[in-house]
Parts: sequence; C-alpha cells; structure tokens
Amino acid sequence: MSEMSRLHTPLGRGDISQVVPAPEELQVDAAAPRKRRAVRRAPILALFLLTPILVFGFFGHFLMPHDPTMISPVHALLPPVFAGGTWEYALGTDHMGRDLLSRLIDGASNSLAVAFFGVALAGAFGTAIGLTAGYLRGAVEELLMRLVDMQLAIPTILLAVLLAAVIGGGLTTVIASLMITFWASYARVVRGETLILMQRDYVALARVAGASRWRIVRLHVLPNLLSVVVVLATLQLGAAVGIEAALTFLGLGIQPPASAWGLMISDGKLYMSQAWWIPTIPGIAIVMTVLGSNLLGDWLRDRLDPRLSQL
Amino acid sequence: MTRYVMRRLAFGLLALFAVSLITFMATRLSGDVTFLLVDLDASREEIAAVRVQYGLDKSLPVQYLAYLKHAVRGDFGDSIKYGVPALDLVLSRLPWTIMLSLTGFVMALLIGVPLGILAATRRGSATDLGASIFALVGQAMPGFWVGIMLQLLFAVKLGWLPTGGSGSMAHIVLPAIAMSWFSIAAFMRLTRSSMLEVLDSEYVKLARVKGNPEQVVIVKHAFRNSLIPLVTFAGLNLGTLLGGAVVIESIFAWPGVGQLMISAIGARDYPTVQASVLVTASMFIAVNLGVDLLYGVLDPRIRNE
Repeated sequence: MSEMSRLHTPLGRGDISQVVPAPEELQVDAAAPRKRRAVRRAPILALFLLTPILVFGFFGHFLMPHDPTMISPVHALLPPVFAGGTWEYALGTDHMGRDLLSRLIDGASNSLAVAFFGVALAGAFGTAIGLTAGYLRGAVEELLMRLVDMQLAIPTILLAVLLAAVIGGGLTTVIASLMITFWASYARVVRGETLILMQRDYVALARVAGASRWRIVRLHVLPNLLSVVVVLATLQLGAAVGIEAALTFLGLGIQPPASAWGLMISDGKLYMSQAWWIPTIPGIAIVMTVLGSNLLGDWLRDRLDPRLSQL
Repeated sequence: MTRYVMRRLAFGLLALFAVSLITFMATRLSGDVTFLLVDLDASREEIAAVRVQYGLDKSLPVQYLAYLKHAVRGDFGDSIKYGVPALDLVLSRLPWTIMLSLTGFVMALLIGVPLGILAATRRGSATDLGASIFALVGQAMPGFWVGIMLQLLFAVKLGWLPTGGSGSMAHIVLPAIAMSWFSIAAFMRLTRSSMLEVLDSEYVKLARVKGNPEQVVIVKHAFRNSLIPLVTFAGLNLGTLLGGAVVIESIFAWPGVGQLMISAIGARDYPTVQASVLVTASMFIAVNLGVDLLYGVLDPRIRNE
C-alpha cells in the first residue's frame, strides 16, 4: 500500500528518487534535509534564461515601451543602447521604425503560446496512442506502432512545410505542424512505460479486484506516466520554439504584421548590412528559450526519473 | 539476416507509399489547382477541358491511383511554373543538395567526433568544459539563425566569403557550416558520452593493465566500441541534414531541391512540390534503410531480434 501511494503522488515528486536513486545521490548524506538538497541542485541557469522570456510572454502587454506595430519612419534603423542608441529605444528599431524591444516582448507571447499548444496537443494525442497500444497489445499495438515508425521515417520539416503550404501560414498551421512533428515520440515512450507499468503488482491486484479497464488506466497507469510526459514535453518545448521560428522565417508560420521572432529575423536579414542588431537580437531570445528549456528538461529528468536518460 | 533485410525493405516501401499518399492529399487539399492552369478569362468549357486533360474531374482515389501509376514510372507531370517535367527539374537540383548535405555531414563528423574523444579522454579539464558548453549552446541555436549570423560576420562585415549563390568552392563554406552546426554539437555530445561509458568498462581497464600505450587503448579498444551509437546517429543525422537543407538552401540561395520546393509551394506548382518532397523523402528513407542494415551487420543482437 505504501509503495502504491508513493508512486501515485502527482509527478512522483521527490519520492521517486527513493525508489530509483540517482547515482550521484547515493553519495549524498541521507540525513541532509531534502529541501536543501533540492535548492542546491536547482536549475539556476535554466531559470535565469527562461524567466525573462516567461515574464515577457505573460506580462508583455504591461512591459512594452511602445506599440510593437507602430510604424515611424523617422525612427528607422536606430541602434540599440549598447551600440550608441538611446534608452527610448533600448534594443533599437527596425527598417520601419518599430521598436525592437516591444516586438521582442510581443513575439515572446506568440512564440510561447504556439510552442506550448503544439507540444500540449502532441503530448495528449501521443499519450493516448501510446497508452492504447501498450494497454491493448496485439494487432492494435502493432498497427499503432507501425504508424509511429512511419511518422519517424518521414523528415518532419517536409511534413511541416507541406502542411503550411496546404492550410496557408498562421498560428494554426504552426501548432498543427508541431503536433504532427512531435506526437510520435510520446506514443513511443508512453507505450514502453505502459508495458512496464502493466507488469506491476498493483495493476494485477486492481484487475483481480474487478476494476474496469478505464479505472485501471485512470488510477494506476496514467498518474505514473505523468513524469515521463512532463520531461519529454519540457525537452520538446525548446525545439518547438525553434521550429516555429524557422517556419515563420520561411513565411509559412505567423504572418505580418504580428510580431514573431522568426519574422523579425527574416525582416532583419534584408537590412543586416546597415543594422546587424535586427536579426541578431531575436535569435538570442530563441537561443535563451531553447537552451533554458533543454536544461530544465535535463534537470527534471534527473530529478523525476533517472531511468529516462534516453529521452 | 535475410528476414531482417526483408522486413526493413518492406517497411521502407511502406513509408514511401505513405509519403506519396500524404503529398498527394496535401497538394489536392490546398485548393482547386485548375485555376492555375487556365487563363483568367477562360470559358467554362475551356476549364472543363483542362480538368479532363489533367484528370482533375475524377474522384480523389482515382486521381491518386493514376498519380501513383505515373509516379512509379518517374512521371510526375510537367512543372506548372517552368513547363518541363517536374522530376527532371528536381533531379537537376539534386546534386546540389547532396553536395551540400555531404559536405555538412563530413564536416560534422570531422569536427564533432574528435572533439568528443578529446573531451572524454580529458574529462573535467578546460577542454572538456569548453567543448561541453559549445555543444550545449550549439544545439540550442537554430540553423537558419546560425546561417544569418555567419552571413553577417563573414560576408557582410568581413567580406571574406559570398553571402549566397553558387559557383565556386567559397560559396559552399557558409551554408555547410550553418547546416552542420547542430550536428557538430550533437556528434560531440554523443561521442563524449559514448566514450565515457566505454572507457569505464572492464575490457578497457584490462587493455590498460596489459600495458598497451594509452593511444592504442583509446583508438583501438575504446573508440571502436563506442562506434555503434555513433553509426545510428550518423545515419539519422544525414537524413536530418537532407531535411534541414530546405531552410539553409533558402537562406543562401543554394540551387538545391529545398529551395526549389519552397519556391514551388509559393507558386502552387504542385507537380514540382510532389516530386521534390517524394525525392527528398525517398533519400531520407533510403539512408535510414542503409543505416538499419549497417547496424544489423555491426551488431548481431539486432539482426537476430
């Protein structure tokens, strides 16, 4: 009973590490308070990189010094403050005189929203497929897993480009592309985990006790899958921001006059001989997001489930 | 082994079939292509005639079968934009994409793998730290942005290399670096972790105890055994590079299949889109098939699975 309740805590926080200790934790003094240990191993760099992006994404509308779409030709191509500009336009302006800081902040919410929804949809769909395959086994599993193999055998960029070409550019296109790109990895990992979980005694006991399929899935399998799914989603979030930016850059994603990092880079490409900062700055924001979410994902993985090192 | 080869081959064919179905559906769902084929002031009869001529009046499954029948013979129809057979157009661009992808691939291997070995054998040193930071940050940089930054630095500011286009050896340098950037970081990380694992094994310790010189231990005993994950990844990576070419070629105006694909999408030139997606996907699938087979040769556990 005690093992059951422990494994069922949401995300298996902390306690999972008692069941499967991380190698380096074996040497840590077991008497040290758990809380302090958690603080010491906190992903400081990841948080440092992600916090500004998240603040921009969530509170952007209160922080923007200018209207991100306001065109003002007199203020065109002003340099950022560290290259001889003024604080009025801290990161400089683009060829239409739009404030780059405001566009960067505005673009953060677009990029994050797109990446988040794309990954969430992929996670939900992929988990459902993986769970079905791992639970039902047999022909269903064979069919679903061949579908997964198929998905992984086709270059994702081709699918994304094709999809963007079909339904035109826009938020929906990018979210759908991300979903198509990412669902298969969830399905694969979740199926594997489900197969392991189905061998557990508590699942057998629940079955003996007459629990329905849905009840077993809901109470005994799904909660234990959460940590895998969360780790994978965090690791993919960065990649999703990168793919969104690339699609938008190619003109297949978010459309002007909306602000998006990919758009800023494609605009800036044309003016880079006069204004190097226009394509440079949004790229740095992308690197911060991707790196931050990679590091956070690595940390979460080590923390929640060291067995997942293959993710 | 034969069974293994047959299964992989069957899977490759199935994947190819799936790609053809997806590309067909995608291009047909994107709107009525008839209007791209006729003049703006065409009469109803002329439109109907064009529909019949291109088979667009038939149902979708019938259209697909007709398309498949032609596709296996290499006939994707004429490019709407250029008026030449779409496959010829794609094949004329293919050498450029292969050249760029292979250059990027070789570069990634030649830089990433030695860096990974170096980092693993000097674990904890400044070299290791530097290489690890490079790998971590490098993997977080989107390829298209790396490309633009390279253009900015080496073409616009320093003027050492051309911004884009093709024609000389100098033209391939920047796009190849941009393409291999992610892979260099990935190869480095993978080689490092794979080497560390092997260096810790009993047989490497035994090789040392036997008095082999360190270089022999590292190259002959450790590196050779850390190769298997590298081969898998290298194959997958070559495929990824082929896909990544789409973005990089557009930035550097490199006359490959990827650039053709993007411009064809803009022009709704669907025979060219279909041909270029299918050709790229076939190469991707063929490379993966090759890797699977090579993997089976290298690791007996796989082929007997």
